[in-house]
Amino acid sequence: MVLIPDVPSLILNLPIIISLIAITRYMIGFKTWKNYPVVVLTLAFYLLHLTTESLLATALLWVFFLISVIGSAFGTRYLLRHFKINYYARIATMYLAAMTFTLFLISILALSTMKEWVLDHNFALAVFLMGTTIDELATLHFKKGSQELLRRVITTLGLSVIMGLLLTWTWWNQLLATHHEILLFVLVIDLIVAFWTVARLTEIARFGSILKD
Amino acid sequence: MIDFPLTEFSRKILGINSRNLTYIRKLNPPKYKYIADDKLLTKKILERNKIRTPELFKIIRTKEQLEYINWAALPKSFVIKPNRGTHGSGIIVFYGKKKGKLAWITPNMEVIDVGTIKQHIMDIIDGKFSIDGRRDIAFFEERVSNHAILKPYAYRGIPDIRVIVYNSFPIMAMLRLPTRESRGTANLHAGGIGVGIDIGSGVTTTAIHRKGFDLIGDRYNLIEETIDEPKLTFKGLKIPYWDKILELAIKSQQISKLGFVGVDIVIDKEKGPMILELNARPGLAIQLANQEGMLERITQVKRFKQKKTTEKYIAIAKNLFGGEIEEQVENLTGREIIGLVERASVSPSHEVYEQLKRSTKKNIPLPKESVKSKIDSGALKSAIDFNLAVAIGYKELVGIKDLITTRYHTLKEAHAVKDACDARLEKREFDTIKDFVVVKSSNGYTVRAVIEAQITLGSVTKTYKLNVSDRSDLLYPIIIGKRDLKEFLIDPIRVFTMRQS
Repeated sequence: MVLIPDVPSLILNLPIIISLIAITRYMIGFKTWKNYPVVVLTLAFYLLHLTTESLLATALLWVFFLISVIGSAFGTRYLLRHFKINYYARIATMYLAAMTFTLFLISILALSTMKEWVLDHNFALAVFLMGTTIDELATLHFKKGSQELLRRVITTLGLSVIMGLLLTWTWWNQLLATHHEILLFVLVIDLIVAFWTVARLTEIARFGSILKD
Repeated sequence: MIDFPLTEFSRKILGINSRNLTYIRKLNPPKYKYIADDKLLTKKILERNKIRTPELFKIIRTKEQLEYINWAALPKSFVIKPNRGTHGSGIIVFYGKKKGKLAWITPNMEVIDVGTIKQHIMDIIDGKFSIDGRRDIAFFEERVSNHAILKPYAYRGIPDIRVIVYNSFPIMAMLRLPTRESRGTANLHAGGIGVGIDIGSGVTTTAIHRKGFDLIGDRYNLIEETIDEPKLTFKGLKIPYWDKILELAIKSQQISKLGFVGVDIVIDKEKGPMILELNARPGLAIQLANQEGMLERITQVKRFKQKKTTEKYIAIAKNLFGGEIEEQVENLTGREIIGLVERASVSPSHEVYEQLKRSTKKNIPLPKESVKSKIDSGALKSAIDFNLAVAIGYKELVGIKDLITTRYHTLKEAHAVKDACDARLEKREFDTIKDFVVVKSSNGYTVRAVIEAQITLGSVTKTYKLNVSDRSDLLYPIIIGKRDLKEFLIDPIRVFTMRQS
């Protein structure tokens, strides 16, 4: 069933991504760092794939630039920790450092065979989207501490890679474009998750010791 | 691997999905959650209702206000808090002042000057620690002085007691202790220690401390003694002001109009217990600290009606959840703890049951009655009401009812009746009666038949020798005397606490 012909499957993937995040959180128990970072990192993966047209190259570039952006932003934050400056100014400095460092990396990679990739508009858009997660990440660190940050970063990155692979899977996208009724199935899943009061899988591991003892 | 039944898990353990959808959404309306999230508003409302909270020194709403603070007037110790902070973030405890300087010392011996404090307050105002990321208010509050009993257990910070109150019933409690790792805060997430508290006695039981990094979430190790020096055992610590703490927790919950709330209470060495804050979304690790599931406890209190006095809520909670210490005593002594009045299940002895089946020529079910029984250490022997004994199958008693329910004025008279009954016993006229005894009472003597019946009290089922008497005008149809109490320890403040096995 096709509701409207020629609708890009990219749009139809958005509710699926969000549903998978909900399942991961409420049924499995892995928390991400909000929906937005997962969506933009997935989109960054998709954009990189449009540029490179190779899954391996996409995955490598995605991981490399993500580590660079987050690493440089948090490195800057660490260096600024003793300065008595306003909160938003601190965040602004983190963004500046992250993008400057990325620019430096791009200029180096532009000297190699990857020149076409790194100077591509989609590539710039992907790095831009990665950069927008810094704010959320910094807030998460303030509020939840380093361990929770690490935990959520791992979950977010894992989930983003899975979603990214889904977004770049031709068979899946063709299926979605020709079978809009899949969204009805997604709605059913959303409703199940909405009223899910059963224990999360991770809770069984966390609280199971009470019953064992 | 899962080596326990999942049905048991879902019956006992409260998970976060169920907490949110079944309890917080239904019992904590947004406007009351908003009040609980606002520490200053909560403080104001509680104090209006004459519930003590730590003293408020100063509120800072704007950055400009920072320029007008008289820093020299601040006391040696105080606390800075964000008004709408979560998980203890943004709270700094200062417990000493640097001599001759405008600088204060934190639990980690870090000296913090006015400039750094100002910066921290500006961060609070910018919403860095706020629950929703919006602009916030900072305030200075009194630092509570540690109670002498708890002080050695807390590493340079203030321990607090978290009581989970569900619709006026205190269902679970935990002592939270700061450690060196938690930098003086009592937050478990930050590395503090959680110690389960027996609701019945206010005595600590098991303790937990967070493990290292784990992808699936915070996991905890069971520990027995403090992590920092001096090494002290957690088990058996009696929390001071326990009844007052439960009373404060219940009253605060009722005032807050939140049906499911975590009440944080601190004990000041001079002022006693005070409410630190209310938590509308209490964490679930308290179940691990107590090694008990919260859902099972909620189910237990759901059957009670509301609108009771605070004392009644406390009494019910103590009766229902006060078993942990007893369990340890029971394990140690091999005896079960019993209250002064308990429900007992009584049935005829095997021999009488077989006779009953033979006489009716049917395969009848074992007659069984559940009755109130009085645990009477002042009486030597156990006794049963005449009507109850007949009801469970001792029909022979009907034929001698007059003899065993009559009061005799002299001992001689009573003995004459007993001798006559003994003679019939020797002639094997009775199958279910084992003996006859003369008992002296306030207004004469009675002759009582002695039967043997099975009684189940808690997990103990055994055959008791019971004197049969007319107890129809008394409250308890069964009395358990001290001859039959060897398997038990008596707690005089308990009633109806045993669960039938």
